[in-house]
Amino acid sequence: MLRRRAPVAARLAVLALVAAAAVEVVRLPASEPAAGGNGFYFGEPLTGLSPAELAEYKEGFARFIKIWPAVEGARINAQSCAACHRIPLPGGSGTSTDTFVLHSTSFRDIAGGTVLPRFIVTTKGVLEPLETTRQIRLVSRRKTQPLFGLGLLEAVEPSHLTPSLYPEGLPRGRLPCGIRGCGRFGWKSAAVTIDEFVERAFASELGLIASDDGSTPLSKKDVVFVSQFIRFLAAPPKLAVGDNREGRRLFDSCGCATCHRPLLSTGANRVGALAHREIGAFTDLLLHDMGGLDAQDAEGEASATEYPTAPLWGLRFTGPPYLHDGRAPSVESAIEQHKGEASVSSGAFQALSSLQRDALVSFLRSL
Amino acid sequence: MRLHRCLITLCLVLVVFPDASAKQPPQKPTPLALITNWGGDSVSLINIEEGKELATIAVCLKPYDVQVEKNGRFAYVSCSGSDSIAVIDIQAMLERKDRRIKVGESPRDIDLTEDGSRAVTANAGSNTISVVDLIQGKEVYTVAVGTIPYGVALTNHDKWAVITCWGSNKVQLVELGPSAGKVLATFDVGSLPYTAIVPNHSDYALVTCFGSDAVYPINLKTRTVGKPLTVGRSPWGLSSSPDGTLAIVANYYSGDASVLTVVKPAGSSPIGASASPIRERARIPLASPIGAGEVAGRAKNAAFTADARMALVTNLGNNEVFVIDVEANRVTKTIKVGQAPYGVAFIPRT
Repeated sequence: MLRRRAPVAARLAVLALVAAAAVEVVRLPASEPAAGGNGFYFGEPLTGLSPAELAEYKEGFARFIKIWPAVEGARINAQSCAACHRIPLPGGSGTSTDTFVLHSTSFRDIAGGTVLPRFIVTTKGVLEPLETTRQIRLVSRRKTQPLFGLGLLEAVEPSHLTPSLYPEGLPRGRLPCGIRGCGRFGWKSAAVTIDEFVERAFASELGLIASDDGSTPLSKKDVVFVSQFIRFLAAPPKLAVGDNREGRRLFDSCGCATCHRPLLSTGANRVGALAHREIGAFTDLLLHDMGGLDAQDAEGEASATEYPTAPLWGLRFTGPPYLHDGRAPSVESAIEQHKGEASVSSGAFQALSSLQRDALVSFLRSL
Repeated sequence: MRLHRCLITLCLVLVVFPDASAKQPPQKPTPLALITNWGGDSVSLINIEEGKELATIAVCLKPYDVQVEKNGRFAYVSCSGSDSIAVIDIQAMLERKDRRIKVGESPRDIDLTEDGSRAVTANAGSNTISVVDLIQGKEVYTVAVGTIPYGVALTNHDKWAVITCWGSNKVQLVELGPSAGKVLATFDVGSLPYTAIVPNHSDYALVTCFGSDAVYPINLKTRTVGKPLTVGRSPWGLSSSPDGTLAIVANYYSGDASVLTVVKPAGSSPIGASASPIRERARIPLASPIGAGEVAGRAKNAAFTADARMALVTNLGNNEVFVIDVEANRVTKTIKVGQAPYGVAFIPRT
């Protein structure tokens, strides 16, 4: 006997209620701790670093903004980290198309990833566009991610990264774990540590493999300094405005907080400034199936439809555009384009009144 | 709210457009300035005498820089999030959305020609500059320049533009023709050159280099780079007084402002290439009372009043503007504005 299915709207409403109830478990006080603190902007070092750590941060900053020599024959996208990670300051995101990176599952870069280089360095040191990029199929693009607060995310207790046990139809997520460990960094969680993330970026984006034998301009110490700079970057500053309780309530009731978890905690860490801190990153660092968001973009442990939950802190400065490939011109559009496990929450958002949607978006823009 | 806007508009009309037929004593510069709130997609109108924000104008996405016509009628805002120039009707205190002008990707600094007929934007996302006809409201042409152009400053005769190439540590001199332009010269400067100015009656361009903690002078006649002047940490914004004798630098990480004296060449003789045209006259600490103590500001941009007695410096760290008494070298007040105040320009008196 065929069972009649409830109308889609009714199913969405029920699922949203279930999601909201589930979120009650992780519901927090309306006011999260400030992620950076009043009086600060982006690109600051963490507070509480030791003088030696602060010195490493400064050394790393100098290398982060350095224009590295173009090695003859190298296939590259840029000559410095800051060329793409620049909005609103070095260490930030990239919002214009020159900072977007092309990927293809049918291509392997020198770091073993899927980054397509745009230029080749000629004998005269000139960057010539690479025509082969156009010939490779299954190309998808990714936006440059902001790096603020990455050290705190790296320091999050592994025990916090547990998939949910929600009913079928609600987001569950999974840890992107492989033989090298569990990935946390990059649009596909392909990098396990910040050091690995930096090493891969130097290779695939700048065409530089670190070596201490003088064969390349990049030493292993350079990679360590840049990693430390990123590790010690403070989280984005939270907007100093009154609590938007309605926006926060709607964030919960639509089920957004199921994946965009408002609070995570760091564990013990040899860097005091990273240890035992509560952070308002609004992510669970898990991979989720996002449906047809981009069916061509698989990498590492993540399938073509899986993406880790993007942190929402500092959202107001990371776009427009939004989403992994910059397809969303606004925050509203980004929410509406959530599919797969996020369909219920996206549907719940779209069912809100105009005023309620404004309140929720206003809340997101305050993070 | 509507009444409030009407009153503001009335005040602006009286200040910006006084009866031309009436005989009036020499006038003080206007205390009105526009601030772009990059993080808030708005522009604030502030009164530095009253020490407060008078109005907020909703504009485009990520408004970066602002320049005001000499007659105070319209302001032009570079919209880094929507690849366009927004035109603000200053009397109406509204953006004329019907006059939005499309330019290159992610426009940053903007400068206007002396007669206000054209604007030039540095398009950081497309490695171009756009030359725009403001009368017809359209881009006339673009010029390909170096990597990630952020700053633009027109020379005194409007024939050249000085462009900072943030991504390649270079500055370019671009010739601006009626229908096309070309790069004339490229200069190596310090790390992360953000802002360029050409002080009035000067043969020099001055460029802030964020990563080198220095201001680089470039002699436009000899086409040589002079000795850099060390200022505070991470200089970002830069502005000169209308007579070209002073400049003010917003030092981001040290949270202060450097006031520079700029040497004015005698007659037509150029300054020697080896001599520096600038020296630091004062460094003014910028601090905000936050919580129980004070926190150093995060200075982004600066502008002088028409008489150069006062200056404004925007503070990204606390969403405010510092009002500075330039002669006394101190902050006299702070004014709260919108999120991430980036651009600043005074509304001139006609």
